[in-house]
Formats: sequence, C-alpha cells, structure tokens
Amino acid sequence: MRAAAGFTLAILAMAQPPAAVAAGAEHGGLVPLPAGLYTPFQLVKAANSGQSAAPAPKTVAAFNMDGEPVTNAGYLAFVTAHPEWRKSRIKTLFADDRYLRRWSADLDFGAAEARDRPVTDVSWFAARAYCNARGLDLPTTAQWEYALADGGRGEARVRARSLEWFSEPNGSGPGPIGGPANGYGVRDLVGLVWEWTDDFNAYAMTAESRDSNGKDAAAVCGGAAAGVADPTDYPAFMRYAMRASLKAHYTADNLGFRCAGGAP
Amino acid sequence: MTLRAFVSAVAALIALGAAFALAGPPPAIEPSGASLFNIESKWTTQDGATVALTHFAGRPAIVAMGYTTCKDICPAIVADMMWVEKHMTPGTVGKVRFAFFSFDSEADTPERLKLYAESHGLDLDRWMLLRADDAAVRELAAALDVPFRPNDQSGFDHAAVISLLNDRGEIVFQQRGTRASSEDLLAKVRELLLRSE
Repeated sequence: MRAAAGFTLAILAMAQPPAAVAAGAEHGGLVPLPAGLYTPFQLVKAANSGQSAAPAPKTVAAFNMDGEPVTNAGYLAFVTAHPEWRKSRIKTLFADDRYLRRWSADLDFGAAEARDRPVTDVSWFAARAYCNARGLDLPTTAQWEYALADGGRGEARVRARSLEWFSEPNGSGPGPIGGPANGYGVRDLVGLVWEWTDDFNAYAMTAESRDSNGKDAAAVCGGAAAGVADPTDYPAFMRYAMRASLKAHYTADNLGFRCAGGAP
Repeated sequence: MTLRAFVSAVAALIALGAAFALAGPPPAIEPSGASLFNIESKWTTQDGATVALTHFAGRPAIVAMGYTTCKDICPAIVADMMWVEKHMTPGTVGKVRFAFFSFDSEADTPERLKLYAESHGLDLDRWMLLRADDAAVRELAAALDVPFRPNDQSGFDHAAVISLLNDRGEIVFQQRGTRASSEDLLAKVRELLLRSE
C-alpha cells in the first residue's frame, strides 16, 4: 500500500507544473557539509565539581543537511503516504492538540502560498518520523549549530539577522523559504522558524534540577549545564533556551524542522 | 436435518468458536492516544529476549532510564524503585512490574544488564532490564520526558525520572529527582492497584 501510494505521488509530482517540481526537489535538497570543529555553546560543570569548564571543541563528521526547512508541500506528501501522522489521527503521545493547527484539513495546508513556507506546528516525534521516512534523521544540535556557524563566515550577519527576527511579530506565520545561502549552501537557519534537533533536550537538565526540592546535585547524573560560553552571543543563548523549554510532543506556530543524515 | 440436529450443530459450532476464542491470544486492546504502547521499538532484556513496550500491558509498571556504569544518580534511581518495592505488601508487590531502560546501547549488553540486576539484588520475577539501539532510546527518553546527553566520560548526563505507568501504558505519575523515601510514588502505586481491583 505504502509503495503504491508513493508511486502515485511520484506520478503526481511528475504531472505537476514546474513550481511543484521545485517543491518536490526539496526531497533531494540535501547539501553536503564537510567535517570540522564545533564548540558547544554551553559551559559544563563536571561531575562532583563546582568548577565549570569551557567547552572543548568537538569534531563533527561530514554529513548532509536539507538546504531549507521542510515546507508544507513536503509535509503534505509525507502525511499523504503515512496516514497515521495526519492531524485527525495523530496520537496524543506524539503531538499536542495544536498539531498542524493551521492546516484546514488532513491533506490541505490551506492557503496556496503556504506551499513553500516552512511547515510548523509539528512535534519532535512527527518531524523525526518525516525524516525517518526519507531515510534521514533530524540533525543533532551539534550538526545544526555547526551548519549555522558556517566555518566562521558571516558571524556578524547571522547575529544581526537573528536579532532582527526576534523583534519581528509572529502573527502571520513564517515567510517562504529561499533566503540567502551560507557558505555551505544552507539557507534559512535563522529568520523564518526555530527548528527541532534530534537531541533538543540535551541541555534541559538545569531546568530539571530546579524541580527536585532544591537538591540540584541529586537531580542529574554527571554534569549539568552551568552557564554559557559566550554571554554576548544572545541569539545562541536564545536557541539553547528555546530547545531546553521544549517537550517532544509540543508544537508551535514558529517551530519547524529540516532533516540531516549520513556522510555525503 | 431435524430441528434438534440443527440446534446441536449450531451449539457445536458455538462451542468450537468459544474454544478457539479461549485458546487464541487475548484480543489486542487498541492503546489510547497517550499510551506508551504506541511506541513500536523493540528492546532486548537481560535474558536476551526481544520485547515491545506492550510487554508491560496488564499491570502497573514503575519505569526509569539509566545505565549500568553510572556511579552517581542511577543507583539512587534504582534504590528509590526498590524502596517502593520494599514498602508494598507481599500480596500486592507481585502485581507491579519494575523496568530499567538503558541509555547505553553500546556497553549495556544483556549480560551486563543481568550482572547489574544480580549485584543490586533485583528480583527478576518483577524486574526487567532492557537495552535497544540509539534511536529507540532517544524516542523512549522523549516520551518519558527524560533529558539526557552523552558526556565526555563515556557515560550520559541525564535527569532522574521515575514514571508510573498504568496497565494500559499511560503515564499516571512521575517522580523527578531522587528521594530519601519515595512516599508520593508509593501512594500512587497503591491507588492504582486499588482502582484495578
């Protein structure tokens, strides 16, 4: 059945006008990123020590990443082939009741201009299922941040664009994909939507320890995040705070995703 | 066919149907939308058996995540679960399952899980220790809301979260952080058992 549905979709995609083909091409829209070093944003307090150490740079292996966030059109193809992720069928374990709330029906994302806009109001479970269906994963936080860091190119521009974006009202939802490509050829990492990462909750332990009767040391195993490496990097702080505030079934109007996977 | 023969033929068919119904597996109950039984991952137990989360259907289960080489919080998590076990009456303790899911896909082999169970004196009639691949671990950790990350010491930094599941795999209570005595968790377990009687 699934193969048949996929086949039908493929036929439909071929029969569609060029604009739809472009949206379909997003499925092949992976950009290769070379291996490199990535310095985590968070200071880490070592186990049984009050001292927080500056994070050591980590090696990120070469990987592929979607050049843009997944669009409504891309997500429509997914829910068409995988009915269990349609808004009428989604399990509450996997998404809250705002899942795809802007879509007018199971297989209708509403206004035509939504086609090339990032899909939002999707949970981590749903985003992950989408990527898995393509044989991919969500990017790790390290991969995502590495892509944004862009080997040090355009750092000031990224910060400026981020701050500008934070000050924009959310109201009408994100605009279309297709912003300027960074040095790796990756677009729209900031400026349209926040994005899920596979390990979004990796740095949520500090918030966790507040819930445990003040016994911080007993609430987590090993180290806990103990501040930020560069307090002047407000956009980075915002990204980490945003991820740490999420639960896997949450959805939001300004939260989307893209996929990553394997060696190029 | 006489009426009597017809009646007895129908009766035989009904009896046959009933016999099949009794012999067959219990009808699968569709899990609710909130149930952890919607997760399809497969796990390997300390005995090398492969189970799905639906293994925990039918009885309440007290579940947590950790890893066996964890020196810090994991023994405290297991101790909290054992505290609950110890404070249940002999008549009710067998009605609850205890499960420890490992973060450590690589190191926590079934053999290692079994050693851990033995060294902590866990009663394997009630306890199960499980491992799976990274993707399954991450999915379960997300569903149980247990933040974690691999650390630089070949281990994991993670929150201490003990979840109580009802017999249908729904989370009915969570203890976040460890306790000297897990009174609230114990009370919730008792409440669940009373309700299912």
